[in-house]
Amino acid sequence: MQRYIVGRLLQSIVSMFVVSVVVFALVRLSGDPIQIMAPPEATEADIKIMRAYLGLDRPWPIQYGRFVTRALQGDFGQSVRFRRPALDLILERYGATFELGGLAVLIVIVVALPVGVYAAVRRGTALDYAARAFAALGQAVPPFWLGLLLVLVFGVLLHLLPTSGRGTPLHIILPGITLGWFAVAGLMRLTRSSMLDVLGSEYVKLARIKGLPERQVIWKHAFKNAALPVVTFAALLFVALLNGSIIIETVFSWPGLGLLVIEAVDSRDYPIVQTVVLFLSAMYIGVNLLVDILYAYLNPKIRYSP
Amino acid sequence: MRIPSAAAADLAVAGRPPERRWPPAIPLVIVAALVFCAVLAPLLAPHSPVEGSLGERLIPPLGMEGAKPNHPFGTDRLGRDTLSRLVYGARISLSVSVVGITLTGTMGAFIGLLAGFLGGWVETLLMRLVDISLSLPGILIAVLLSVVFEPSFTNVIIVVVFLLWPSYARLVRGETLGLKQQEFVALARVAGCSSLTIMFRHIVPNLAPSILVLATLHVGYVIVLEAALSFLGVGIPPPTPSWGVMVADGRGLIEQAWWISILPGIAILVTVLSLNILGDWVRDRLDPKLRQV
Repeated sequence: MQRYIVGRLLQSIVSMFVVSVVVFALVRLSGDPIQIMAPPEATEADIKIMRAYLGLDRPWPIQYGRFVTRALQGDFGQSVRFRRPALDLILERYGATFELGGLAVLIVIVVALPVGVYAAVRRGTALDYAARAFAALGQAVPPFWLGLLLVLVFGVLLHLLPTSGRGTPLHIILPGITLGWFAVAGLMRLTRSSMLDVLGSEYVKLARIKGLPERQVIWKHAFKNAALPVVTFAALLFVALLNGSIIIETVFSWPGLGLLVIEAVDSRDYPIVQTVVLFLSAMYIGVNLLVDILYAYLNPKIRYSP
Repeated sequence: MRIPSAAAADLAVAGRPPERRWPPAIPLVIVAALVFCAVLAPLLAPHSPVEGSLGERLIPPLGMEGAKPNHPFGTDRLGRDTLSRLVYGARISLSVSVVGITLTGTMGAFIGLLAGFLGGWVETLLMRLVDISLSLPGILIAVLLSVVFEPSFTNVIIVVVFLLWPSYARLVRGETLGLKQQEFVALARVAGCSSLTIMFRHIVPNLAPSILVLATLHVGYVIVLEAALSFLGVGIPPPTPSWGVMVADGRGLIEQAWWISILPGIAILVTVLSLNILGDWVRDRLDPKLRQV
């Protein structure tokens, strides 16, 4: 188990290294920053001084080293558009993204798990077909379009809910549902198939023969064992929420990190794009690591291996 | 006391759905129509997909007040015909998925083949690469690419390849490990075939069904991915009529002109649903053991 965790940890560090190199290289490829920063009347000598001052005359590996050192100290550069440190902007915005993600996770747990479990238990009934139809639809509906459809129905036609921005608790309902929808479809499918495998097992039959109440058989004996693959899905769920948040924040003008990065793309605000990408990638890699460790802990085959 | 649930559970283990010889008709017709539209777009589309007439802006689709018969699905804010843009949009969706999946499938399969066949440090290295690639967030890479280079068809393809190659590499490596142990490989070796001949003449043909199944299952995913990237402004750039671009175009006009956004969304939904149903059918026919994919 320890060996596994150390290996996994090293792999995450390599992943983060790759991300930082990619970000560094792509931003350098995008053009000479001096050309953008220097005033038109700058002389050859001025540019040389400026280049030396910014360290841009040094070899690439050294520049990369400076980039990483500064990032680790929290210096990600200034936003071109807002003329403020990139980190400050991110710290202002991440709360909104987490709020939205939190609600989506809640929707997923409350809807997907019970429906998935009972769709498996009542295989072939109307509930099962409804759940499967929903899952199939969930994978085919583009998230940004579903968001617009909800805006049209609940905002424009029915005038029930606000359709953009953040403020009252009502504001979060539409983006929350849109973000939750996709994760629900995937998790429901997985819970159902995982439960079907477990329900056919000897120990579930035994629990039934013992005369245990059905509810206890389902949740205590079957679901506990079916939950293992579902844990792995938590990582995928996070991916879905991360990708989704970028799209859904754009649709509903929800002022989180996703909207920040898309606005930064529009205004060519490199430092912001770079910082948000680094920040979200670090979270993404971190969550993947945590989920794998949790999985190893839950799975005795890995837990007891040297 | 209720017994049926136990019986149902038994069925769950024993009962695979009966194999269907013919593909499901409705999805097949829809996908065929789509390919038809994509190939013959210039002949089928009644108007230009990128040029509109400003005198015919925001005309609603047939059935609504103010509709015009020469624009059955209405027009957008630049007076471009929605139907024509939808027809041309099918081209974008299909070409992104065909080009993207062909590239990523070939590349991923080749890497998987090398890893599985050669083993040793090559395998370790390549499979580590797969793990790392899987742990990087794809949509962020797309965002970054679009800032550095202008948004383009090529960017979308890069993102597709980047996101999907690991699944082909994993699948093919696993299959190759199995095939390598088979007698026909040993016999080919005895007959004096080189490693290259064994890989490409004897192993690759046996990999084809699984690769094909995975590719079919990916088509719908790639179409949604392209649309999402284009919607965000980091995929296919406007005015090219990608369905994602169209949804984005109508976003600000959802109150006055819902059709601009809603119709292309329906096109995506119907296409992807049909492709997924067909994909499941292909999988069941060719390779039922891939059920978990």
